Amino acid sequence: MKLTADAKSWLERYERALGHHLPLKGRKDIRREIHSHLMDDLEERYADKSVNEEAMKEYLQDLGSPRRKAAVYREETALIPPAVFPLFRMVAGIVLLVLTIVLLATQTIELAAEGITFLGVLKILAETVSALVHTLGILVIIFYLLQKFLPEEDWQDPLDDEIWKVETLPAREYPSRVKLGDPAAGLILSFLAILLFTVFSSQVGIHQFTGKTHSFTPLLSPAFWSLVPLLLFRWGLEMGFSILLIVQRRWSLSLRLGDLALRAVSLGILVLFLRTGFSTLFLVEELNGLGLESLTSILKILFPVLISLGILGTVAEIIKKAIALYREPEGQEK
Amino acid sequence: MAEEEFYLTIPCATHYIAYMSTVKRSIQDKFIQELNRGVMGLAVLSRLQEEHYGYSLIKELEQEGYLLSQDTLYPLLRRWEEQGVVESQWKMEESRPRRYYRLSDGGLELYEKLKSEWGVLNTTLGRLLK
Repeated sequence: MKLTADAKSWLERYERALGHHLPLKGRKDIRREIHSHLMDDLEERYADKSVNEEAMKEYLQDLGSPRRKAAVYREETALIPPAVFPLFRMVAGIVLLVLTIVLLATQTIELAAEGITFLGVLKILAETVSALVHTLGILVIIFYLLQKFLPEEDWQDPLDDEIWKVETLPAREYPSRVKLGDPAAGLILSFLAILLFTVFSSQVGIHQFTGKTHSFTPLLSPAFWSLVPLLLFRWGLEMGFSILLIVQRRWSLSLRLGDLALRAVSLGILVLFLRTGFSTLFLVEELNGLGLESLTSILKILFPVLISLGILGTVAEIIKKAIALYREPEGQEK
Repeated sequence: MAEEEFYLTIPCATHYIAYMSTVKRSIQDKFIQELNRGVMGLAVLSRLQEEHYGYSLIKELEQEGYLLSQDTLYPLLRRWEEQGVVESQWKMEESRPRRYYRLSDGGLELYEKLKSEWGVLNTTLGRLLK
């Protein structure tokens, strides 16, 4: 077999293009081996003939694109390899669920307070979707970096290493027993709160009894009273939910999601309280008039701290409940 | 109405059958591909007790009825060399350098192990496929 100068030039062009797409590591060696292979192949096809430009072009055309040919030398890579994927899916599921609940709850209640508009709703949805996409992207980057820089042996499927005992398998499917104390307390407290802010709303304030005289000073401002329907709605939901729990006696997925939704509404209300502020919600002047200036100044500092703690606690509770959705039900049913 | 149904139904059915047959073929192809991939390593190892360069290896396997493309073989040999399964060296022959591969000691051990596993599997499958 003899290659004409043109044929040789086309072969060189092909090999050069191929070399361009080969991995840097071992590129020269791979290219040399491919050249050796192609020469063997050409020799068998054309034996004693001469290979001209046309024949070479036809041969190279049949070989396929250099990029595709070089691609087989590249290791298969994945942003998140299969061994890491179950953990990624669990973490992403929990984080995105919590984020959705927190964002929707806080923004919706804020919107409700400011007045619901079509554009407002659209803005909330767009911001929520955007935040979710961002978070997912950040999680992908974090997991990519973790699996890239941590040794491969540390990335076994976490489920493989899970220590379990057959005795811990629950006797029944997903739902587990409801501890009656919690919904009972929720029911009673919510009922009392509704009663206080509806039937006895005029009595909410500071009552002073000096001898036989009784004086009453209102404590809550009109701004607070404007938020009361929202509180009543939350307590109403709590009552309904508690009754449902007491009747059903078992947690189901829908009840767990309902519980999460309730906490989301609480979170939104707390955020609204924090934004409105102590001085707007309470009749500070009236309190000062009673000679409680020192108490008022302490409450002014304490109020945002307590509400912030409440917000943090609620978020922690939402995270805990969201994680629980992914867990196996605990222990054996009795 | 009946005429309309006739015109609507026949082409749809024809397309559906053609589509389903393509799907069926692609599923079959995937199964065959997986089956081949599973035994490919053993087939290549079986020829590497003797020294071979890539092209001669492909031709020898081809003569025995086992088809293997260059795009599959060379990356496989490179990976095996990194794993210590094969050893290679460039030799100058017929005015052209060629890279010769041969099983390393570890590769030979691996081959014997795989051969014995294959024997068991072959017997079991032979019984299952009767």
